[in-house]
Amino acid sequence: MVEGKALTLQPILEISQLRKVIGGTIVLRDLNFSVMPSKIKAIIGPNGAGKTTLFNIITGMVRSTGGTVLFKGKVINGKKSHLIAQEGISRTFQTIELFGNMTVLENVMVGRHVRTRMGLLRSGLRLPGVKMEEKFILEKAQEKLNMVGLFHKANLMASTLPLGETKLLEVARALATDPELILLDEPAAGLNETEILRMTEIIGKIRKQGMTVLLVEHRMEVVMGISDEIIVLSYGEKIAEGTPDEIKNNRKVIDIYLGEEIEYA
Amino acid sequence: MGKNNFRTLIIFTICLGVFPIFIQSDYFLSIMIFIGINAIAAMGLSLLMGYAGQISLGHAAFFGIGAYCSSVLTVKFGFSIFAAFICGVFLSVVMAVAIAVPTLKLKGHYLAVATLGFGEIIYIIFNELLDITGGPSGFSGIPHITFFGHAVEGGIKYFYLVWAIAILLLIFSLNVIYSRIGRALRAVHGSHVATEAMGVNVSWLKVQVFILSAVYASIGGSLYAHFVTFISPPTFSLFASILLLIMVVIGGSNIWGALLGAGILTILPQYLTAFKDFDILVYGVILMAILLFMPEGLLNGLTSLVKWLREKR
Amino acid sequence: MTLSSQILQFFFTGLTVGSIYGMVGLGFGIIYNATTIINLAQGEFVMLGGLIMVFFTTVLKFPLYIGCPLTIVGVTVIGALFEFFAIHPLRNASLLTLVIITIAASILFRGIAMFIWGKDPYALPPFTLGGPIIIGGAVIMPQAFWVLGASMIIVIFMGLFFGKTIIGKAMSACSFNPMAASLMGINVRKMILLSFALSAGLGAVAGVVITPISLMEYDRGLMLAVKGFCAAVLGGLGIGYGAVVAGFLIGILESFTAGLVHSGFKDAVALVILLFILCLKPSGIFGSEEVDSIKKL
Repeated sequence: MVEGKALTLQPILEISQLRKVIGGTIVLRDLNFSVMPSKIKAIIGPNGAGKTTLFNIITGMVRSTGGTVLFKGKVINGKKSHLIAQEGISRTFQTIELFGNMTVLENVMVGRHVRTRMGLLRSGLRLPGVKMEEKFILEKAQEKLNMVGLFHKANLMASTLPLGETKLLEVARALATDPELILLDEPAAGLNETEILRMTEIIGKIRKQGMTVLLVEHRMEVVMGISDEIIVLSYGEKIAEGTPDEIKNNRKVIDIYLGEEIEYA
Repeated sequence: MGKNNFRTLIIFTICLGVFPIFIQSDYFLSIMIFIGINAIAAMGLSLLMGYAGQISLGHAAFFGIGAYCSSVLTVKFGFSIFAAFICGVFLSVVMAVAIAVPTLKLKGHYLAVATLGFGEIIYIIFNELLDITGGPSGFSGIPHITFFGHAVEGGIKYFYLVWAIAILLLIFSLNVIYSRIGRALRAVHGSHVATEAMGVNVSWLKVQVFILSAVYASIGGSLYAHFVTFISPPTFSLFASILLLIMVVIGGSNIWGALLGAGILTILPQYLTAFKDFDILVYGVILMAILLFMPEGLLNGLTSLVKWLREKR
Repeated sequence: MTLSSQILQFFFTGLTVGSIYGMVGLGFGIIYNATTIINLAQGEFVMLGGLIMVFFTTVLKFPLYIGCPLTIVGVTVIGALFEFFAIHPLRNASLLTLVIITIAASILFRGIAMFIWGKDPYALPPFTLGGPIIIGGAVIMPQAFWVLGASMIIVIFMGLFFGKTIIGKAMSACSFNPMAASLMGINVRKMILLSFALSAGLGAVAGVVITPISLMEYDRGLMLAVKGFCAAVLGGLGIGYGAVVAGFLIGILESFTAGLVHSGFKDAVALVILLFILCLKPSGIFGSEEVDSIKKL
């Protein structure tokens, strides 16, 4: 049982003393937590708890008022969104942000942009590398579509997809960036039972492939079923952190959020 | 670049290739040459407007920079035609970077007015630097283009030169549109936020397209100067920039539309000589009408119309 | 003329011209505040104000106190019609399209003006009679006081309107959050129409007071629009007093450039200032970046 190498497992994401004040409201209050690699960590909490703001800060869309975000040991808060994506973080959105004017396949291909290099000049001149890169982009995109089960809709316009499939498409697109950390913002919202099962399966596949997942979700079946750890936020503060079992039985959490009537799998 | 575009390109090239065989009159050839020159500038602007979603109200300035560099550097400073042409492109790139970098992070209308201001400043410079540009009385004596000792004179030769360059630039444009760059640009139209989140440096992309469009205009300007051998500032005024804009809008801000728009707006003035000064009224009416009734431009409007008529039967 | 009186002269000329830029800038700001659109046809309202006033006084021989309000009302109506026929139908279009349509409108107005009035400049008699006034060796036309006075009154009026009246505050609310505004019972549609009408009227006032000094021709509008926009941005887009102060600054700098450096470069002054400001502090002298980023429309 002795490993050949000493396994010093560093957290892939570290949030320290993160603060966000908007106007007079403290949206995030000295938040501290970390996420270990290849784990699924869920963030739950009532609406307005600051969950999406947290995601926006991590992905560089919003500046924090204080505190740091460390990704693989590097400070990333304050960096621009596209640079953070290059570092290996990608996300889905709570309000669907698909490229409605493009096909399903093209949406995922855009996800490939960050890992490819052919620029304006080389593309315009159609240098030999361009064709190869395009083929590679196409293959990878098809692979991701297959993984979420949308391959058969590859050439349809993204705007024609029903809600459940738009969520899957966003996941496929986020996966196309080959992230190490993927942020899923309420992937199960508005989905029916079958769709939720499919989504949960996919999230499991993501972890199996070695990626880390940070998940914001309200549907308890998903959260309890798949997370390794859960953080509970309320009014921007972390009020509990632990395994699903620990959280289920946490008095504070039940009072503030879960309520005793809620049944979960 | 897609099968449809490839087919259209081949047909288009062939038609252009045989054009001078059937039409030998200098008048029609020079109209086609002007269409080609305008098309080059319009294609660049349509990449900027249709794909990068930005407006430039000063693009005639880049056209003018190309024209004046090609003229002044060859006549007054003895540059070779090619060297002067490259200088025009280079200067346009520098100017484009100077405007685009600070303004592209601002909202769209800031860039619009910044380009307007830039265009006006350049126009004033063309007018005021009398010693260099000849000022309002213009600049003459621009040499014809020579390829290895043979002068490209006369309608037919220049026709082929201009359109060869135009077709090459068209191919370049289509390649860009159908590449990952073009996809990223289209994605911005779908969702700016998501595009950035997917790792696309949107601002830099827009700057690049702006620079590219300036280069196209500069190329057009140089070709213009060597054809007409006399240039003067009014050709590069705000009005010229607006005409260029109308060409793109008529076409519907897509690359083939730019060619159509260039064609229409080069031929139109020939018919408007009857109206004399009221051509600006006509242009205003045309622009308004297109925006209100056919905002996707004539090309798309016509294809939709054709589709609609077909369904009616 | 001694140097000091020359400088005083440039200063006064600049102040006068600057008031016009300020008023045009104000007009930009009003529409921007209600809609975040930049109305590039703004300068045409000034041109129309001047030329229509010429029509009333010279052709119909109306006295000033009748011609003036009629002109202002007339141009206000034109502004409202412009919003109704050209802006409102495109309300869901991209900002790009909206800017282009204001360009189209400005071309159209110019073309119609050329059709009606031709290319020649027209004059108006000054509002008050009397020769030039000499202050410290510098020559000032009495009309200049009308110009300055008009701009001061307008600034005060706008300040009161937007700061104190319900309608004014409602208009500003529209661009910050049109959805919330309409939920509050504000008729966003009417506010937008009103903003266009108001800035058209404003332009008309500017046109009416400046024509006795600098004449008016069909194509003055564009340059005025560009310089007025420079004033608006320099002062902080949407900030009324900012546009006016900036207008004075630009006018004075322009005047000094024309007098001391070279008159050909005078038009470039405002533009160079614009480019500088856009690079350094796009929110303008009195503006703030945070506020700018909140505007939603």
